[in-house]
Amino acid sequence: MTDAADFAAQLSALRKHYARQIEGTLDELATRVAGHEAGRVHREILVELHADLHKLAGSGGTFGFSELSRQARRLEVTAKAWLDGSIVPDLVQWEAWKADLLRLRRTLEVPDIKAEATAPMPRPEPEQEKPIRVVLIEDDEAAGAELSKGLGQFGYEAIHYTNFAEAEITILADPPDVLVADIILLTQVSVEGTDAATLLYNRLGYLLPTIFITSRADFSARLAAAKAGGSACLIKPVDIPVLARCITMLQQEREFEPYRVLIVDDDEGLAEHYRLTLMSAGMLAEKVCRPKEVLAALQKFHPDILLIDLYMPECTGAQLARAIRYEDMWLSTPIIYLSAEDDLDEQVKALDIGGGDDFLTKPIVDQKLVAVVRTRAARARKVDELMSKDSLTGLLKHSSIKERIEQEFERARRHGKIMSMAMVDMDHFKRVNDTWGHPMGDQVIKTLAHLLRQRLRRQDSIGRYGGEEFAVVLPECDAADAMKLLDDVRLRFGDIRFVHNGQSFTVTLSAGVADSEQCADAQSLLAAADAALYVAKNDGRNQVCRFEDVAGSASQ
Amino acid sequence: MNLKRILYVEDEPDIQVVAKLALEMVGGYQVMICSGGQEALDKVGGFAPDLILLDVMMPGMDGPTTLQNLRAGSATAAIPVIFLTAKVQPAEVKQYQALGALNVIAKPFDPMTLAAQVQGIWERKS
Repeated sequence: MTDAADFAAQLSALRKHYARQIEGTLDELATRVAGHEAGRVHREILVELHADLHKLAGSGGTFGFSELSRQARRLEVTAKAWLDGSIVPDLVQWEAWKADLLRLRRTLEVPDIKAEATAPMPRPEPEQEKPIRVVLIEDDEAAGAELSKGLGQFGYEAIHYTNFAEAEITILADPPDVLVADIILLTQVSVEGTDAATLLYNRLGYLLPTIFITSRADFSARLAAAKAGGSACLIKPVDIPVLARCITMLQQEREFEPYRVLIVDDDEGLAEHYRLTLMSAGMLAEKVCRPKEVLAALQKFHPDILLIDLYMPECTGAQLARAIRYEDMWLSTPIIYLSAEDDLDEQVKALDIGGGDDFLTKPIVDQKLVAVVRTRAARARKVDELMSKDSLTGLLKHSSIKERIEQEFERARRHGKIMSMAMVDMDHFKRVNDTWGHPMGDQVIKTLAHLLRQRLRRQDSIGRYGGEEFAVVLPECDAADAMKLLDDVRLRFGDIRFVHNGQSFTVTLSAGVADSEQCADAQSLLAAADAALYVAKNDGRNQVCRFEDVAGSASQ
Repeated sequence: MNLKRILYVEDEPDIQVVAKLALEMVGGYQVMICSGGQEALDKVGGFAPDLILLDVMMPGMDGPTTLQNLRAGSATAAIPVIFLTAKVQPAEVKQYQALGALNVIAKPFDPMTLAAQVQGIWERKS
């Protein structure tokens, strides 16, 4: 028996075993809820039921019963809300919930189709990055369809519903990353005695990232959106690039990297206490007890911020800070001194000579430590980002992307791999500025930046090379694949309609692509991509050209 | 570094069996199963895994607490951890990542692709 067939056979046996066993579990659940009435059901029973439903939700799909997982998940969410005390079930709700629970057995009759087939063994390939899921609630059928199509062009997976009742099940069973909803449909439609926005918050237990859309541009619409916890409020007809940017910003807030803190204190117990305090506040912290180990720790750990004890046996904290600042790399990293010293003069002196940023006086209240470190680290990150990124697009600046081209070129050479790059330039951009004004031109630039970020892989780098020119670096990708990728971006970008004062227009782009096989160094790679872009422009624009084609046509 | 040894912490026997099967036969990894957080802390030193998969909701010591304990031990602080949970809500994912987890895999997982999912997260971590 081959491994694949063996695996399929064993899996199939496990599924049968699970199905047999789960029938018993479901029967037992049914017996437990029978006879209980709303308001009379004991909390302990609800706790048990919740735990069992949670297990079913988490296991059913693994054994080929996805429907069981979905239904159990819905029941679990409701039970959780009851347990939290946010909603007390009335008789009707309780009976409906019970009936759904009894119906769980039926889901065993509809096993997943793919689970039945002996599927061939897949090679473990890197997980595909999941698209961002958006649920859209808009009662205008045509406008909703248009919006979800538009979001699709940006690579989002949008599902459109025309009312809250239909969307509710999807949202609760499998919460989307972002909700986009007409403000009226979410705040002025009454569901179970409350508005839909409050209901969602109660059931989910957290505020779903929400963007409201409205046809009224007045203050009361904005206020309603703010009251319902919306992250943004956009006026209809919705400008799709603007909506896409809002969604991405919400997403980025969530993909937050924890702050990194390096603690330098000769008192190991105290250092460990600070470390644990910061870790439990969600930061990554490391401690060093001897000043001479600091430089190595800095190199390895790359902290966002340093906490240094002022008095240590080998040197003072201020002297250590000064030694650290000798290296340009750590010039902007904030340094906070920790000390029992409450003499103001001493503190000022330490700030003067070492270039530290602040003082915390021991004993330090945990909350204060966390608050001070967090604020400083947040600001340091922001500054760092501003220094390396273009303010309009959030992409790498000219100098940073050039550096990246060199780094990736060298890396590809070292590992015997191929990499490619592309120069992307908008067609007739000056006309956009002249006809629609500079603010609109900026809008178009931001949209292309956004689309590139959406369509490229995580390991790719994108920079704003000049006014309307972008450079893209694609590691482990040859020119042929880069062509496909850029051509896809070209088509999508050309489809995007920009709206200004009720009039709409589209913009096209040209791109030139080259890969590292064709070039001796990063400089000539850049020149090759530039040459290819030049040909694309001369050849009528709105196309992607490859350096090979360019070289070929030149020699003909 | 190649991913070879995985410690999987999960209280449910059904899931333990299928996960071990999927990770060993499809992924070719060496897998050790623990039924709870405390057992994991006891055995992690002996097994020296490259990666730990942690169920979030477990009786006794839950996933997040187990992670905090792992992070507090000097030998185990650096071992990457992936959470498995049926409740993948954005706020939680953020919270788990803030605790230092690499990522979160949603339950129910598909046994056919679990190994690929784990491998994908492993490769992206650098």
